[in-house]
Amino acid sequence: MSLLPNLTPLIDVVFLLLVFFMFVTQLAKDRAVPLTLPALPEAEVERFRGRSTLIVNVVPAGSSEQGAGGYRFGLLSFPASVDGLRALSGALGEARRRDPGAALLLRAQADERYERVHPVMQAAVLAGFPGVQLVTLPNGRSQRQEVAP
Amino acid sequence: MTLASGAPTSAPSRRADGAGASEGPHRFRRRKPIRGPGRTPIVLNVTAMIDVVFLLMTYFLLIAQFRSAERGLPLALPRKLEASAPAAAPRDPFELPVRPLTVLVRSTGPARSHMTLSVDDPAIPRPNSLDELVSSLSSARGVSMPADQLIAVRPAPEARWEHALMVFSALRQAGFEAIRLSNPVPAAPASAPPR
Repeated sequence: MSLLPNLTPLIDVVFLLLVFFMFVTQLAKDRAVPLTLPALPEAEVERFRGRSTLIVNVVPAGSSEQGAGGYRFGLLSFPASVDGLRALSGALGEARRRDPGAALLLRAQADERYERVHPVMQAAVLAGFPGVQLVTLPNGRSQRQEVAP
Repeated sequence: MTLASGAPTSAPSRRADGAGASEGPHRFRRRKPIRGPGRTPIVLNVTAMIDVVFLLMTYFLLIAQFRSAERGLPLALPRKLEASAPAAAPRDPFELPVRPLTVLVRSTGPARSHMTLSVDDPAIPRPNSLDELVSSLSSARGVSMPADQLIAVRPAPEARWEHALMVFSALRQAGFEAIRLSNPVPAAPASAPPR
C-alpha cells in the first residue's frame, strides 16, 4: 500500500484561500464610496487605469457609509467644516508628497450641492495638486453604482 | 530467485480473469457484471472539479470587481486659491486685468435640463439652454472675445453637481481651453436671492 499522501486537494484549498485573501484585501482598501455619479454623454473623459489614484468622496448626508455628510479620503473621514477641510488638505498634501505622480479623483453624487463639492477642489489647490479628475460615468450608466479601480 | 519463482505463479492467475479468458468459451462469465449485486461501484471524484470551479468563480468575481466604467473629466487647478475679494491682495500695477467670462449656473429641478444659465457679457444673449450657450459662445469666440478667453463656470451654492459638470464638459467640448470652476458665490447680488 502506498504511503504517499495525495496533495492535490490540499493545493486546491490553498489556492482557494490565496485567491480569497487577495479578494478580501481588495475589499479592505476599498476607497470608493458607492455613489450615483453624474453621467456625461459628450464628455471627453479619460480612463485612469494603470495610474495610482487618490480618491476623495463627497459622502451624502443620508449615506450609511462612514463619514456621511462629509468627505472621505481613503479610509479617513473629514467633517464638512473649516477644520475638517484643513485636515483634508493636509492629508492630500501628505499623500502627494509620498506619490507625486498620483491622480486625484473627485467623486460626488450627481445631485450633490455644488457648495459641498467645491471645497474639495480648494483643498486640492492648497495641497498643491495641478489638476483633479472629476469622476463621471458614460451616459446610460448613471443608475449603476460602480466601484472605482 | 524468489522473485523469479513468484512471477510464473502470478502470471496464469492474471491471465485467467483477463486476456486468457477471452480465448475460452466462458469469457463473459468471468468478467465482473456491469449491473447487479456484484458490480464494482463507479464513483467519480468531483471534489477537484468543484475546487477548480470555485477557483474560476472567484477569479471572475475578482475581475468583475476590477472592471469599472468610471471615467475622469480632467480639470486643471489654479496654483493658488481664487481670492474671494478682488482688491484684497496687492496687485502688480503692470499686470493686465484678466477678466473671465462668468457663466452662472442655477438648478431649477432634478432633470438634466432643469437649469438656468446666464452670462455676464452683454454681447452674448441670455441662453435658454446649454446648447444655446455653447453655440453663442462659439460664434463669439475670436470675434468679440479672444480665442483663449478664460471662462469661469460659477454655479450657485445649491446647484446640482451634475449641472455644473454638464456646463463644464460642454464648454470643453466646444474647444475652450481655459475653464475653471469658480467659488460658489453668486457674482451678481441681484440675480441671487438667498435661500
